[in-house]
Amino acid sequence: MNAKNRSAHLAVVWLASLGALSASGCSNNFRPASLVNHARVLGARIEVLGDPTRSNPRPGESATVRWLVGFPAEEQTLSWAFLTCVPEATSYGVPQCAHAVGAPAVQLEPALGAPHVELAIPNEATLGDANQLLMLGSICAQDQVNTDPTVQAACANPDGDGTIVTLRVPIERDGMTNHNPSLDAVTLNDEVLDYMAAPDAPGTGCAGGDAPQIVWSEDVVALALTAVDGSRETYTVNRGAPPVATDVLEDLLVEDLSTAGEIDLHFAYFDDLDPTIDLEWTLPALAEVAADGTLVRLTFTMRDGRGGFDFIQRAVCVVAP
Amino acid sequence: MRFFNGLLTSGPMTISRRWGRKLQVTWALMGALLGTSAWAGPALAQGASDAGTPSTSQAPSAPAAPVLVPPHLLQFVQAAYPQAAEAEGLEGTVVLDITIAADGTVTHAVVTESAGHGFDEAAIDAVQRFEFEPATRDGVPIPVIIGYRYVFELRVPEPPPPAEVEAPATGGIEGHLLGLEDGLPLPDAEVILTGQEGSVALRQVTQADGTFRFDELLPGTYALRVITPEYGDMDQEELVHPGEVTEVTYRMRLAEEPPDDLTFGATAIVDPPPREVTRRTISREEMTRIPGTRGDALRSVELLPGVARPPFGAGALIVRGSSPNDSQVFFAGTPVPLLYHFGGLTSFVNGGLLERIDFFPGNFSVRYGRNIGGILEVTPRDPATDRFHGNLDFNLIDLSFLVESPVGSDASVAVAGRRSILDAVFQAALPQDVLDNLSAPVYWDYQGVASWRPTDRDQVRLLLYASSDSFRFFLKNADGSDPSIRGNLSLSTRFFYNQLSWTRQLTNHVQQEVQWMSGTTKLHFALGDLIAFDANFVSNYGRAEWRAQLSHRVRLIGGLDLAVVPFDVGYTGPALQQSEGAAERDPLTGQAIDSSHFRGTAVQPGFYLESDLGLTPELEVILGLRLDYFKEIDAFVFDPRLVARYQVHEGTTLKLGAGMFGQAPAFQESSVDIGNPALAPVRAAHFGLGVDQDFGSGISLGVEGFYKQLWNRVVGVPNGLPPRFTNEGIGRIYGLEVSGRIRPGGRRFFAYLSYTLSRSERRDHPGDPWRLFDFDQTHIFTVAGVYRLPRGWEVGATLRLVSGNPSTPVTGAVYDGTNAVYSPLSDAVNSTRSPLFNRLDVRIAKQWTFQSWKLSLYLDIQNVYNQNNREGTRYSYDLSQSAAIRGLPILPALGIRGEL
Repeated sequence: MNAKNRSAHLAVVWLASLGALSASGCSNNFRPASLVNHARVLGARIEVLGDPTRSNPRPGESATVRWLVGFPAEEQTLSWAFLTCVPEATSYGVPQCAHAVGAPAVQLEPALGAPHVELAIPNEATLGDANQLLMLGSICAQDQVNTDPTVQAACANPDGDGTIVTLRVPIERDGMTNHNPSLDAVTLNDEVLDYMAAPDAPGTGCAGGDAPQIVWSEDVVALALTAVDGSRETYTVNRGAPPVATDVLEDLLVEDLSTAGEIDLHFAYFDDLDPTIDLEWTLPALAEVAADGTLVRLTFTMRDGRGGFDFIQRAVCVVAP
Repeated sequence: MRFFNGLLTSGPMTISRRWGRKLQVTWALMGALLGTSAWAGPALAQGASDAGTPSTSQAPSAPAAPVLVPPHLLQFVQAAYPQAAEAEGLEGTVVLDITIAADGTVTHAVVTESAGHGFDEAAIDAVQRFEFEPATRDGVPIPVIIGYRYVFELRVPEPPPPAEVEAPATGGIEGHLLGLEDGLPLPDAEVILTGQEGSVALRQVTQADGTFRFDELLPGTYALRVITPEYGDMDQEELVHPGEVTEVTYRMRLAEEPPDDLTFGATAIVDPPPREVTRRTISREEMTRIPGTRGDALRSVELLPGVARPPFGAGALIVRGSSPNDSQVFFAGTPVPLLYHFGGLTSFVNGGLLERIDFFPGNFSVRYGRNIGGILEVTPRDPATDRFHGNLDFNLIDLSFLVESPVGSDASVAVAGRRSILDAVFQAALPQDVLDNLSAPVYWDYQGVASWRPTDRDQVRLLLYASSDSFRFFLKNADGSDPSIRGNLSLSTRFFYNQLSWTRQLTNHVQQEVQWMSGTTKLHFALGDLIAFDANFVSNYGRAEWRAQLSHRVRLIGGLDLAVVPFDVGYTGPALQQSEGAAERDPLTGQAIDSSHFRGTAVQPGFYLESDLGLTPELEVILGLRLDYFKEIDAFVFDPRLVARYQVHEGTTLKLGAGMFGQAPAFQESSVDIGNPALAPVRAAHFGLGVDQDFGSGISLGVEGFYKQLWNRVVGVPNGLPPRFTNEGIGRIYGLEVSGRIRPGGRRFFAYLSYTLSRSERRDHPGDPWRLFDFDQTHIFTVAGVYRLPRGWEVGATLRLVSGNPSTPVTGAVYDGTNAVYSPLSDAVNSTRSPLFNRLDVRIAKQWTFQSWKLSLYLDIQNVYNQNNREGTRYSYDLSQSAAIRGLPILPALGIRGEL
């Protein structure tokens, strides 16, 4: 019977795909996923104008979208271009626009400062059945952004350091408000780490300065994260077949990044099993540590999968023994 | 391994050899002469063609229990070779009618087919001195007339051994004579052994268990002639080595029932013609000896021409550029859902239970429907009827057993089972910081076969078989590139089938076969909260077929089959895309999740009619019609098919095939909930043209060109927009297959070669450019050989050279700010290709033979020189870096096997 043959094949296809996908996470010569070694887009926070804790604006409201970009050392200039639209109802693949909303937002020449867009959410009639907006764009570091839609590159210079990005902006239409989650604290070797480096702080020369000093060794450094109580919100979603309204408690996805060395988990979750995220950070090789100290920036982002976003940045100075 | 030629057919075994002067055994003349109802065609052409015992059509079964017992030759007399003919190097065959009195003496002999040159007179002179055990009716001796063929052959004398060489040690020949249809031993058959230059002329009669033995033979080549009134005669050549006993097994096909006028004849048995342009058959003797297969019979299929190599050796059956979904595996005539455990580790059935594996890469009979690719028919054998047998096999991967025994005089049973032992070592090898092992990978399977012959016209067979694969892990940490990959990961595939079949010889010319299978299939796959797939099927499959030999040139086959499958499927996960031709897939994180649960019953009846016509002795034409109905999409498919075979001259056969094929979309593609119920059946047209050449001495070669056109292929709508799937896809596949086989006499060595040159392309939507099929492999070259050394040693090697699989290069990425993952931007689908795959496998085995049992030790090493073949590409988290995914390294499998 072909149906059984093909459904069995379906299971094997999934397994094979999973195997291949998992192979990508196997130890190899790839750059660590937790390493920020170039201008790297790390996410975007949506804040409703007048109520920044909310991440899903209502029709007719305004919101700010501010992108987070990590740098290997001091801040770099950025250029960007974004188009906001009502998306096509696609099931997979890179999202597509159905029709544009508002004018494109463009910062053609690179400048200091995070890319940001002010959004005016359309009214109900314009939105139709859409429950989200789609933002498509490019962010380019130290170079002019590409605005030619026929060229598949983020920067006008094809060798530039840039990223093509998408972001879904959920719109509250069902009375279910979503709030941005909040990271609480970071500890390093069981001590609270609250030092933040200035955006223009150089990547070396921090020995003896204000940043917490870590003497290089082969031992891993223990990091721990906590979220603010109540960050995990309960929401209602239709699940199963036939669909049944089900209350679900959010799992919060945390991305762990550093500008040097390697953190053992690139992704971790705050969920029912893990109220605290414990990480191990392997320091960079001794040869990579500057004689006058290397300033390492640690960035942790958190997402709730429904548009909510938060991040926390800390810094330490690694000194040679 | 048998490819195109049917030389070593199911019997009487026909051989064409070249040794010194040409020796020929022409069975067909005898058959034509005696007017049997079997197909009349030159036997060598039959052998040179792709003939063999059809996988599904059977020769008329054994006649009724004999009230009549034919005469039995007790004293053979060697005729004097006519001097004039010998001087001229002439050979000949004289056919005579011999009248045997009730006391067993020859009272009259008349030539019915003359050979001239003095052969007739010499033959008459000899046969008149034959002595027989007389024929009987109900135990009372009666006079009879029999047909007899006397062959005069010349042999090149062997040079005398050098004087200084010591007289070599003697050897022997031990044989086992069985009937083909039932596997029963043939007692009381006469076996005549003749040495070179007539140096030796010995005679034996087979024992009750069908065995015979000649000892104290000088090394060299001997001619054996087996004479049985019911099964006809057979000639063979065997090689005797010093200090060794050559073991042989002969299977003979039953002759037609003698006519009512008590004339018994040694009949020429000519196999019914194959019903397909190309059928490639692997015999039981060879299927477990192929290097690189770890003794797994079904894995040997991968080495046949037309079969592409799946990545990582996974068990997908990719036939002549068709998707695995387009081909079907049949076990004892009914479709099975999976061929291998865990997608390719080992097959689901014990190879010791198999009689034959038939592979039809295209243009297959109307007996098979609902598929547009190829057919793999796995035929189990009947259990042994002589005595208890058993074997136990233990290797580094699994433990298996097989036991079989007669039950009474009319029945026999066999039970086999296997269980993996991977779980015993899995826990120790598990990376504890990554995985928690909730349930280690385990597979098992079992088969039970019971065969019963209540009468000589009936055979009833019961099959019970099952297979299971399962594992369950817990991924402690989220994947570094796709954070949704975490949590529970589980897979389970199970099926349990019961099958009852009944074959009855309704009349001397009409046979009926009825079979019914019922069983369950359960499939499960889950990944965290993201993907859940559970499917349950209650499979019911039936077939009824009637085969009628209307005349010696006309055969008619009609039948119907029915699949009724209630199903219950639940799926939660990302939207399904088309199964083949998709670009690099997006991460699971952030994809829209579909949930659906649907039930239904698939009903698929099929009707078929086929006629085999012998228009001339050289030309056969097979016409077939098939009608299928697919209830789930309310569609009919009508498939006409044509096969023609023309014997140009002895040993050379041309073949031609053309036909239509159809199959239903995959159930998820036509599902109301997650697919498009308005889909139409997928269609294909097959065309084939080829030639088979038998060079004699066990050497044969076949060349076949093929072309396939596909239309109504099911393809996904871009980005999964409604209606999700359409029939807009088309495809074209063309190529050339070369197959060669060497199997000289003596059974010490066999080798085969296969080469396929092909191109498989698809076009998914109107206006799209043509692209390569996911598993398009331009060149597929395989050469394998197995040699049996003295003292029970055997060595073999298989070399494979295969074009790399196509792949879609990633040219960039898009960052998803909502989910922190990267989606690939790709170049044209399948626009690049992995490097050439090459691998050498070797197998070494040693067998010790004791009085009542055998012990074997084997070492099967895949990828002996540890080639780093590339199977695919993996990417870093942001798709900016790539690295090759390497295939399996050197993989030794050591095993031990005991056999009663």
